[in-house]
Amino acid sequence: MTHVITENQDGTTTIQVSFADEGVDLQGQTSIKGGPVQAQSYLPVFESDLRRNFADMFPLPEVPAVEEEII
Amino acid sequence: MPYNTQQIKRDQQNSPIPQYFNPTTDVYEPLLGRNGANRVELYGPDGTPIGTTAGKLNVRASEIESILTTIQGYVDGLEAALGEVQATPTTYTVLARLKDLSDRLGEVSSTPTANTLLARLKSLEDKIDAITSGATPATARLTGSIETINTNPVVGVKTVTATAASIFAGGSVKSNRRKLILRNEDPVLRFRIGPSTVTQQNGFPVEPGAVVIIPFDPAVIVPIYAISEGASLQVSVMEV
Repeated sequence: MTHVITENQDGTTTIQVSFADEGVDLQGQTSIKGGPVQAQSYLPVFESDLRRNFADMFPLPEVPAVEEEII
Repeated sequence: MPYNTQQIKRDQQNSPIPQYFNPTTDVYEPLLGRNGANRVELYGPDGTPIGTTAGKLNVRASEIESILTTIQGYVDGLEAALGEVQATPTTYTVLARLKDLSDRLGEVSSTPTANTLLARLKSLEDKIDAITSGATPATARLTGSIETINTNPVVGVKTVTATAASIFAGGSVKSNRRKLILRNEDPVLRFRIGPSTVTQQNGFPVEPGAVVIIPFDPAVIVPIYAISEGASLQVSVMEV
């Protein structure tokens, strides 16, 4: 995921994220009250929400193959 | 010779008659007149007798005649512009245009000529009468109401933290959204909503389990910010 944080003049900060680097066509944008520091701390929450709400767009995690022993 | 050296005129009984002194002839002359009035000669302010021209007093007669001539020219032009009072006045005259206007207005009667303004007004009046009386009820269909859904809703679950953040369902605020519906999924904690200046003290509180519905004008973008009163909590969001 890549992100851009832009501080606005009205006391808010805009967060733009993109999952194109993961091969997922999903972009998000939100704004929070505060500056870049608050935005940086809120970023994981925003990312987590997007991954959960758009889970169908993300590839399923690969489950490592387990070698079964024949008894 | 001065007047006081001359003999005044007298009648048969030797009484003085009405007379005046003529300095040119240097004698008294009878004062004449007719129709019960004696003759009078008018003098101007400068002491000069006012003359006449063609039987008219020279009292700015020429200027008055010039002005009257000008006025007459105006009247002649006005007459041409007005047109004639007849069934078909000359085209482009005032009367022709008034007649045209009158024709378009129609007659004030119970059955004005078709396609005139009064005929159309009467038709409209008849229709309004029929609507208000209930004889022909008006049918209407509302479209474009913000109460209706015209695009797919967007849903999601958002984490509301102690940092005030814009709240919406998808990746960003739904464009032209008509309604924002929030449900506090936390069993204990409240969160608050408001503008970007919202705080844990001044925001509008949303109780645990409560649902808030906020309608919007689709043409106006108004972000809503949410902030938790304590720890992070989950909020179900739907935008339509």
